[in-house]
Amino acid sequence: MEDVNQPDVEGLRPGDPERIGGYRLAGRLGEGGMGTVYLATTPDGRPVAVKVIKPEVAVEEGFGARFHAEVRNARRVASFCTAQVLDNGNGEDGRPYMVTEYIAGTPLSRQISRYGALDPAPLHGMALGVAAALAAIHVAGLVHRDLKPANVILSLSGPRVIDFGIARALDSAHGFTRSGEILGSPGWWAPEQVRGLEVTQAADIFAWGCLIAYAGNGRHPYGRGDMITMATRLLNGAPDLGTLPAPLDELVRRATSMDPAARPSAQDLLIALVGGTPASPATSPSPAEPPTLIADGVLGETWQPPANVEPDSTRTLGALGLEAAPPPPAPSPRPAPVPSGAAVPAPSGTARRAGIRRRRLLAGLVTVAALAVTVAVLTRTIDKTGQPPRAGTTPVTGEDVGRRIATGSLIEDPYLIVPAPPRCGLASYQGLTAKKGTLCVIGWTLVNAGGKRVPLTSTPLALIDEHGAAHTPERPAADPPQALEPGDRADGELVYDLPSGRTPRRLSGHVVEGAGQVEVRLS
Amino acid sequence: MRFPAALPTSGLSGGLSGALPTGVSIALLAVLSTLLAASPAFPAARTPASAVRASASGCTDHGSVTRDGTAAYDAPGGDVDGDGVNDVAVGDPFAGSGGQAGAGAVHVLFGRSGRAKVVLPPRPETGGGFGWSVRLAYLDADRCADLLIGAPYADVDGVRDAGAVYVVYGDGRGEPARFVSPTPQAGAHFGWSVASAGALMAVGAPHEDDGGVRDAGAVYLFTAGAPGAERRISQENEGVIGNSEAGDMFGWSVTLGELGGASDEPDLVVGAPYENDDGTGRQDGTGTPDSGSIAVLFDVRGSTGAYVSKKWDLHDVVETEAGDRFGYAMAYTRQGNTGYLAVSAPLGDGGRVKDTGFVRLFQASGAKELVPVASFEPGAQGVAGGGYGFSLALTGEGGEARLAVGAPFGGTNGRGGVWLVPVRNPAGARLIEQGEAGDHFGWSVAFSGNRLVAGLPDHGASGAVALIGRNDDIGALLAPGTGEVPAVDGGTSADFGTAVG
Repeated sequence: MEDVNQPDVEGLRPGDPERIGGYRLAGRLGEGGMGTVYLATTPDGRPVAVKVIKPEVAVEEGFGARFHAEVRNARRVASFCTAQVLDNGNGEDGRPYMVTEYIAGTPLSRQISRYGALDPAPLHGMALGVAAALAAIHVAGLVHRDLKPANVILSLSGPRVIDFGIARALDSAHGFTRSGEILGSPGWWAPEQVRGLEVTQAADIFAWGCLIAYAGNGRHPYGRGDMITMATRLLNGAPDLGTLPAPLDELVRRATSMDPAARPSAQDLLIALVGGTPASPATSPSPAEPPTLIADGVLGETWQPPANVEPDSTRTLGALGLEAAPPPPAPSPRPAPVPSGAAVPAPSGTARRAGIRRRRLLAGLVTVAALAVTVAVLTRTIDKTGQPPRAGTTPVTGEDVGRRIATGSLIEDPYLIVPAPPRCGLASYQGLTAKKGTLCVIGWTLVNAGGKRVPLTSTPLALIDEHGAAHTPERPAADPPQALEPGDRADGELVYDLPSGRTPRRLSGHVVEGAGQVEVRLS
Repeated sequence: MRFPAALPTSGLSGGLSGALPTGVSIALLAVLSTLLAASPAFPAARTPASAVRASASGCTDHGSVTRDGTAAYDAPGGDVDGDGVNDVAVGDPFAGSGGQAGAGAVHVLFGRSGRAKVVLPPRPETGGGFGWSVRLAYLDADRCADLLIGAPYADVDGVRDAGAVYVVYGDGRGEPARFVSPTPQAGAHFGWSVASAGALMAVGAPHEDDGGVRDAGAVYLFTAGAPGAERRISQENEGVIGNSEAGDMFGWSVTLGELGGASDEPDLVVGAPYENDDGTGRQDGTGTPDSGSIAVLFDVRGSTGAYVSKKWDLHDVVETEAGDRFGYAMAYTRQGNTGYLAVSAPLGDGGRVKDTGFVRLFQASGAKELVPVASFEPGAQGVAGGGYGFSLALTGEGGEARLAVGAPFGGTNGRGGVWLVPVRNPAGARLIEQGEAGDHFGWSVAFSGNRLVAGLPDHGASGAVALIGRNDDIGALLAPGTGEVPAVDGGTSADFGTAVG
């Protein structure tokens, strides 16, 4: 959303409600395709930002549930360098809303367009703050997906990242007119988003790189243009990173790598920015505590807001009869809630193996108490390699779901399609009841686009689970055809009774009489 | 597929309405909003007038388009929202939509804004295959292109897989019309192929039996806004050279263009890739099987009674081989005073390498009849079964006729490829490759303004299309549910990019 939290707060318009939930509305902060953001006050007078979803979005089936689920996730994110999500609910008219801290400050987009590139000191502080925010978001298992200058607020207390955590709920709302906001913004996409590949936390890192290059040079690394132009440049050319002070030049270059796996993690960036060596791309194997404490301490000494930030925000609040937001609460050593299943890291032998140099650098910046936790977190990060965390990413579907599986030549012979992932875990389905565990339903389509009649086998495909065990399907309600005439198709569903705990891996067997075996990888 | 009584079902017998109604009932509004809805759950806020259009202006200006639309735009493709930049329609006939598996869905990608919109069948039907074929066409008098969408596996009046074609008007004013055969036949697959020239539409039904001859095939002609002008054509019609033989699949591909005869009168070309090359007369099961043929019916709109036609069997073009499938795909464009027709044989023996595929180019200058002028083949990079010519597109944009040839089973690791061939300078041909193994890049191709659009229907779970700039070597990939391309509400994309138009 453009210029949300901008200091130039508008008054309420006719038709705006006076209150939403228990919050009294004081003015408008911005409006986008998805909803309106109001400046409001809590019953005890604290200013907050309330984002209310537009009725036409809110009415979509299931949107409310998705929205609240995502906001609940977002509330797990540590408040550091982000606008903390405070509350969510449904207004009197049923429209969902979310409440975040009100960050008085200037959006980075406006800062750059009005005042030009940031000087090295605030640039470094902003790079660090946004990296810390991403680390906090990522460690909670989320992906921002829409990191862009309008979503970074330069405040007195530091740069803050807003509007995170609900991108996925919005992503699932397929509203057309709102898609510009929902699905990221041209120029701030990662290549894999444009390619339609899996979007992971590495996409946020790519956006971080573009953001720093933009803030440091006053222009976008891929220039300006419409969506197609930007997407084409993104896929075909290297970004123009301009001149950036070290170590940002090297970090931004690596963050904007085309290959997601080659990009550093948010925690790698943090370590590098506080003076360590940029670690090789590696991410924590499991969500750990947010690296809040260290970054807080460092940033407190690093951040210099641009000169224009203070007067603007002060004036704004005064004009609305509100007081400036109280300073953020002092960092608490209490660990943030840890996603279930993740072990709480403790200082250990592993922690003690942390680099001496790194320890020395950090020691002067943060308290001893904070250091113990932080080093443990960072050490976990850099000493282990492994798969990038899956949490918060789009679900992985089987490699062959939605793809044509040839039974021979795709011009001459039938092809098989499993158009959607298996639906599993069902206790019963169309009169069938699971006896061994739960039912898995797999839809299929077989098309004979060739020129000859093709006889089909009567033996249905077997489902192979993760242990290699084969399962035969329940008898279908209608028998599949014995042959397909030219141009004909057949559609059906295979229902398997899987012992509990088993996962479908692939379908295997013969479809066409006399032809080779087909394999459909499901996961 | 069953229809609510309020929706005019345009058919030959039922009185074709097809065009621009003056009154719009509430029931129609409801149906239309469902058809065009990105989100069918949306309440009354959605109105037909804003349905397909991305901008609030543009359609009503008649511009230079005549009533029958023959004076079309120079740039290939069509501009659905009337904003001056051409748009693209992308079909996914295997998408789930409206809770029905395989009902199908079509996306319209808007060229200027980069946004996209989902068009769903009015009554999603399991396995209906809506989006098997798509085409942008100027069917009515406004300047916004309309969508021609084939659903060859739609049931019609309880007749299984008879097939239907939907017209969705670009300005959102006229109600969507359904076109079906007056005598729906099970498994005819009406809508397998579609073409248009102005208000004239051609629809192929290649698996329709003709006089009891199995899968001989037929083509239907409709005129938007002119009920009663519809016709069925098979190889048995007087003046159509050839005979209906079992499995010819006449109508597998169709195109309309100016290829001779009277000027400004469209000529119809029909591909029958499974026709056996068996000499004159009816000779089932003999000759060279499945070598394929095309028939050109001149001035087809004005022909009453007998047609004037010319037929090319494959042996008229090259040495005939069994199974070449000449007429599998076709494309037409006009540049200046010259009409070009490209016809493929994806299992033909290009460069004398078996089954690598080739494309034959025909040319008609002025009112002269068309003649074959060139052959294109993949050369050393061709592989047997690579499918060179599986899909075709032609453009005259930029003052130079260019041909795009899809080879979805060739390319590095079999990921597919698209050849771009300047027709006057074939030596300047280049191969574009994109995607990953098994993506089938080039399954479908179309030109849209100065961009080439190529389908990769097996890219990932959803499929994708690549938008490739005129001089680019690689395109931007777009897939449902990513970027600004919305996912299908209440469904799943499976093979987005199977058809582009």
